[in-house]
Amino acid sequence: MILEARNVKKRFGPTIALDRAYVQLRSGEVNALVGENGAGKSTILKAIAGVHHMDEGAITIDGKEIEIHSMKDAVANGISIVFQESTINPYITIAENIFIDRLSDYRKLLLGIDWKRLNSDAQKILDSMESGIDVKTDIRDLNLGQWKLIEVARALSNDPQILLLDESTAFLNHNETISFISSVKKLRERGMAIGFVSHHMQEVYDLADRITVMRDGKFVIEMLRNEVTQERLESAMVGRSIGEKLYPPKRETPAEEVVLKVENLSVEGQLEHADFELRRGEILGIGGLKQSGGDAIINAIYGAVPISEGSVTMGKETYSSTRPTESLDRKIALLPGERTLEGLIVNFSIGDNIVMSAGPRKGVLRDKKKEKEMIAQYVDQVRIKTDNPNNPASSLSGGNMQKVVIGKCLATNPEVLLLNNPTRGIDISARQEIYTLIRGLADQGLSIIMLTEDLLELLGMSDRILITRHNKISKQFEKNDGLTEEDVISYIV
Amino acid sequence: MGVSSEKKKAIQIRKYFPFILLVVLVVIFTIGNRRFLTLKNFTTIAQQMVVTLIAAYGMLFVIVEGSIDLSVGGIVALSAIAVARSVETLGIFAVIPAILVGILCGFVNGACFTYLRIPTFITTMATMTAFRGIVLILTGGAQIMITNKPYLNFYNGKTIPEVPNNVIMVAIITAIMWYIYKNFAFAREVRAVGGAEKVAALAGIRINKIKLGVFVLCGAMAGLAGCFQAARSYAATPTMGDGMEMDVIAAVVLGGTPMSGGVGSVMTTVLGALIMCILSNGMNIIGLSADVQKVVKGIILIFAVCMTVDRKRMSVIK
Repeated sequence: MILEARNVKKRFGPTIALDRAYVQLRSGEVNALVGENGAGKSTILKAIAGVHHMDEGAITIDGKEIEIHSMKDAVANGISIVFQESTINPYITIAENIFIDRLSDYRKLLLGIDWKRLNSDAQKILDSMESGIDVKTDIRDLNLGQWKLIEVARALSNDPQILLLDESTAFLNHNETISFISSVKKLRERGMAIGFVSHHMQEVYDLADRITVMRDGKFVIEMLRNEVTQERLESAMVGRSIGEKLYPPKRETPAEEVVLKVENLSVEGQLEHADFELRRGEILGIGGLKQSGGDAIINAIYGAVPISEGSVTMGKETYSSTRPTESLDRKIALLPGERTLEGLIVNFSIGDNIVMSAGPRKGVLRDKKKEKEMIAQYVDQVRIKTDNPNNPASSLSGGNMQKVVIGKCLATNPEVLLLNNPTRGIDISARQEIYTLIRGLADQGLSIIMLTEDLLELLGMSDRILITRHNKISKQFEKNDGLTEEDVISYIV
Repeated sequence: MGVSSEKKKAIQIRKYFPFILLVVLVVIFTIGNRRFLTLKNFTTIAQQMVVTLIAAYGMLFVIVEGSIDLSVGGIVALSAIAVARSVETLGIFAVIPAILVGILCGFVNGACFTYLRIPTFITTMATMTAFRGIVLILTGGAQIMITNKPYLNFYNGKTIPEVPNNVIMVAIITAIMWYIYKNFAFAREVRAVGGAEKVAALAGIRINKIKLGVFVLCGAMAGLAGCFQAARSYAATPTMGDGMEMDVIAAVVLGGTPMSGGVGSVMTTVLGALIMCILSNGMNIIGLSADVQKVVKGIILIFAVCMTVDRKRMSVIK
């Protein structure tokens, strides 16, 4: 059996999430979808599973076109999906969680639920996966990996031929991941066609029979596991041919004047004892896995999370507790990691977003004339592509939205700029513009800390590099010429 | 960007629905009773609007901030008592203790919300009951008559023939609130907090100060409304303002201000209050019983929210 999704197109407002995407899933095979954030991997799985409605494109099973308008249609065609986020309800039993959408099938007339039949059916599925989970266990005593397996069991309860796993391992620890992967292998042996999305390349190499590379919502290449080399895969993922010219030249001389000094900085449960300096006019890159301490560093400096120990020195002032308002007074600005949830208000106008932090005033009144000047200045300086700043921010593409957030930060006239994954989910050409912009700011004397999960971006942009691992700084690179991914990666994992 | 014509049409309907509803109501009531469409009756409607409208301006800020205040009726009653107790010495300046009482009540609401982190729906439901209880304790369940002539003449009389003083004053208050909403930095920050609290916090806006501010403002406006209500009733009564929060919230929402926060306007609030008052007045004139009136009001409110508010964006009230 082969399922193919061809020419899939999907827009979310102005953002094109999928554009001529393609994927095929075959019985007894794992096809791993890889690509950077925002490449469209999860979106195409969700389109196949009927979660998103495709704008264009066709899905065929063994050459016969099928219509999918809802998850129900997908299930009827033997397609089941397991989402990235947990959908387990911890206040009901394992069996109820598995048959959550079909509990009425187990209802006895006037007598509630037929627990015996429900539990035995649930146990059958769990055993068939060799999960080792006893259906009688209290669900709250299980770990996150086992919860994921229960969600897989729920998908299997529909008796699918095709199983889609969207970043199932994202929140699992090492051991949980290993047992999860081995359960997936068992399903493959049973002849299941599996679509698999993960950010961890090691899992992909371990599990995949076939690898589909996506970039900016488009299909790039499909390779069989034995044709893949790490180099080939990575160049396909990032589009290395543009990659060479993607990053502007770095500083020629090392920066000297210390602008910000971090000493013994700790954040409860997120960061332990970080020490480093930021110098005028440099870009200091922070690399590492998600939630490994980098977020905590910049959030603590800005006051978005409380500092539990240690201090930050900016100019002559040393502080060990702060709030965003005070940070802006100190001339520290933050570009948050979640553009549409933390960076800007999408249904507000472009202009209202730009003046949000540093809106000029005359006493208690808004200074509307200066507001207008400020908006015009930053729309021009960061090159936001719009014909009218009164349009809502939601009318912009991801890249231009991010420029609005940068404009909002610059309007506060900062000396230190903290960037949390500034190009996440942004297409390659807009990235290039943002890189040029950031480097230009550093050249004008702004000191920048850039947190990024993207290794190539880290190496391409940073003058100096910090790596975090398990909530600690695991390495500081004082220079960044000729550093390669191999040099850095051993400090990350 | 390609917005489909259907979508555009929906936005147009949303924008003009309150006007259409207003016209439809006027036509229906005019057919129902000739006395409806007279200058005299519209002067009455304008006077009936005064209290609702003043309280609705405070509520507008609360709703734009993303919260709700159910306690306005209680504040109106409390401030009416403040007027009744002080009017013999203060005369027309009895409005000052009324507003101070309102500010105090608003501060209690705001402090519970910001510092104790109790959602405003719960906070103000609790204070609604508590304020009413205080009213009953203070009055002992009896009404306090107001006989002070200068006060009654000023807030409920006529200086210019045919135009009641309170209508002139509410027009001035409307202009002031419109100016505040458009031009005060505070209003810009209220919109940002209601639009997305997290974004506003990271943008350096002092969230708690803004939240406290809107509740104090709402309390002050309810206090002012209480001063006008006392003058209209010649008394402070224990049941004054009972159920008033419904009319006030409806006035804001009927104009098209979504409960999800971030957007709103003073002029649509006037429109919303006008619809509510014309509805009450018109139903009285065509002789509908009070019970039927309540049902109709409820239905109109649900229908209007369906038509005016983009419910896709609606989230739970904070």
